Amino acid sequence: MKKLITLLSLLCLAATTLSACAAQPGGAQSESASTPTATSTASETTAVPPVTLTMALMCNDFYDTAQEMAAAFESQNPNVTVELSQIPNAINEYLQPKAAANLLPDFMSVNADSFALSLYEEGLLADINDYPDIKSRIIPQLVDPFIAPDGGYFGVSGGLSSVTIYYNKELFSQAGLSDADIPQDWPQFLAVCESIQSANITPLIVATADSTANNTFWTIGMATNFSAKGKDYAAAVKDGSFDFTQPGYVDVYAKAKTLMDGGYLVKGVTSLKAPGAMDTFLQGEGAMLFAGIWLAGPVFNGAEFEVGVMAAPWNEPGEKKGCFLGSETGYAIAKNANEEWSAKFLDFVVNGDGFYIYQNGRGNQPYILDYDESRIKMHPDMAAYVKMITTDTDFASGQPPYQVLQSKMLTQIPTTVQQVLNGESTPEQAAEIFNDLYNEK
Amino acid sequence: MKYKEKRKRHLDLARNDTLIGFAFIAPSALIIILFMIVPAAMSVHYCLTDWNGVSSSYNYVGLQNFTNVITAAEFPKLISNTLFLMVLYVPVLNILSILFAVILFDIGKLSNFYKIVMYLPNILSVVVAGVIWRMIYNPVIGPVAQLLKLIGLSHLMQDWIGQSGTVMYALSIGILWYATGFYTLIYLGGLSSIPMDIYEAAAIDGIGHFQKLIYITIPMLMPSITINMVLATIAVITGFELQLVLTEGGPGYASLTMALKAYFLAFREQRLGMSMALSVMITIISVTASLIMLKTLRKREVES
Repeated sequence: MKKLITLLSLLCLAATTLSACAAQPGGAQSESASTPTATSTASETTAVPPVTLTMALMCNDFYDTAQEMAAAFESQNPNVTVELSQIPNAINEYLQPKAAANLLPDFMSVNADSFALSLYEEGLLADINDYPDIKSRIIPQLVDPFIAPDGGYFGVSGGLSSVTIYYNKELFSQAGLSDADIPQDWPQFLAVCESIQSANITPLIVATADSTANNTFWTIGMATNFSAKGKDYAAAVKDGSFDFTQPGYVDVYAKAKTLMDGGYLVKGVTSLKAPGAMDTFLQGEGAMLFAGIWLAGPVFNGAEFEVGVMAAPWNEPGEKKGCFLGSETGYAIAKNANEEWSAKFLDFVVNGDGFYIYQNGRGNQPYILDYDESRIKMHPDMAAYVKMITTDTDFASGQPPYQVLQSKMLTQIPTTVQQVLNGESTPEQAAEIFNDLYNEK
Repeated sequence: MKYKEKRKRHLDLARNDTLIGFAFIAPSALIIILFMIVPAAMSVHYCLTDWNGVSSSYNYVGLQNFTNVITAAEFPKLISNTLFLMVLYVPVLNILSILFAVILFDIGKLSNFYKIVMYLPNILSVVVAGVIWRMIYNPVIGPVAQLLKLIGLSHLMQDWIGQSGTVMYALSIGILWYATGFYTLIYLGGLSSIPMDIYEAAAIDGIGHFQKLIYITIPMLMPSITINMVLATIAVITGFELQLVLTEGGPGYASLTMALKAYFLAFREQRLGMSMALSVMITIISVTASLIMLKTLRKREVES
């Protein structure tokens, strides 16, 4: 009797333990999709089987919009249930363990970087070339960052990415500046900073505790010192021949140090992250915010003052300005049993109402050709700014680091910038550290 | 014969009881083996490879990962920051927890209320705790900064987590705030096991509060001190969540610890091989420190 009770207890314990292991990978959806529901009638046997799409998006600043997109797709496809998850931290950190376990979500946010490429090369992401209706609608310059060496197309851009300097027109006015004083080169920018500082206003807010440093100091510096001078740094970096100790790269750090030494940067710049930087600007604690155009919606809508935009004038007088043209965080679909429905959602986001829901929610630069302009919501100043940097011949564009550098290098950009700002490294030393890592085998 | 039969029956019962005992712990043991022992063993395997965490193929590189970790520019800082937390945080945490426990044990009224307040931070997610302290430390729009600005002392506000000289202390305060409640509760449990007649006898002999603390309370608390010191040491060597949210190891490498670097290597730099190498080193350090501490403190327990 004792043995029987023991055996039954063990079976219960084992059943409880093993029941937690009943995972639902994306590929397993096909099993449920092909199984009719208990309430199916004879007339419903030809109906589309139910599908659950798992979706993980980097939507910290547009979660409501993402939910709206999911709801709109569900209403158009009643057999589909979208399980939307918000990626809480960095995309790569979130997706990597899932990729290792072959449990990627069906539809996910990805960047045009080496990590997403590695997922594609492992056969975990679908080749969107198989869906020509999608690729043909994307602006060509936003297709290239997602093209693999074998010609595969592993992700769709979420928009044109660039950076700008937002400025508080009220604080500019307090400092005796107007739109006519917008600086066009580096000496003029320093002079503007000096004027603002003289009015006891913090001149420039920029985040360096996260990857904002990559998109601001690094990319504008590289675009100004290399692209604007006709040197394709992106190709050289990718093929391993770039020298990060050369003066043009050292200057990337030197300009940050000049701003710090002049007292032009916000207090706490080395511990400031992008959301905090935006909040600080919106609370009127600084005259300018160096950040991405992807924040246009929250900045223009959240400011209680009039906001202007300007290009970061890191150039010397008479030289071209550098700007950053890259792809915003985009989308990819997993290569699994749900690929067909994931592709339909991607089509909805590119060719359907999903595009307008997304664009309206973010106010960002559209990533598709031939859209209905009357349905686009974009601040006119931002639209004019994007037009300027993409068409004005005074600008030379550079690629952002995540489209150029390996993962191990990307994390070092904020680190080296912080070390220079805090005086722990000189610009030359920071460049050497970066170069050593680049050349590490 | 009778004796032999009795002995055989006794042995059979003992074996049955042992088997039943093993059977009942088997599910938990299975979980520990599958989710802790096996991954640890796999990390020893992967630390000898160049696996990037995604690829289905990898190459064996011998001890190259260990070499790369040790020769990296930031390695001395990893060691010094981890040692800083071990040497500063562990003793300070335990001293504070003992003091709080002693005060709470004798406080009488509202003791339960104070215990709840002490333990509340520990109920929060570490991420939430990190976000709270990021807000507190913000030198421009944080609550402390705003208060100082209000009273005309904004010049006193520092960027506590943005300066190399202050970031580790700022981080330690956050860790202390979060963890003190947990260790205080353990000490409260230890205090409740001390016989009261010892204190009564001490009171009759005219021994003061401080002497009671030094000569009675602390020696009698040695088992709890042993547990807490070892737990705190392991936690500080292997924990990284608060550092990740609060400072991300910055500015520069100023608050980068070994555990946080292992996380970055694995999930930001896609260098799982190196991350596993660093994790193996962390394990060795953690086990060594724990064993030394256990041996030293257990002796004190016996002496007490």
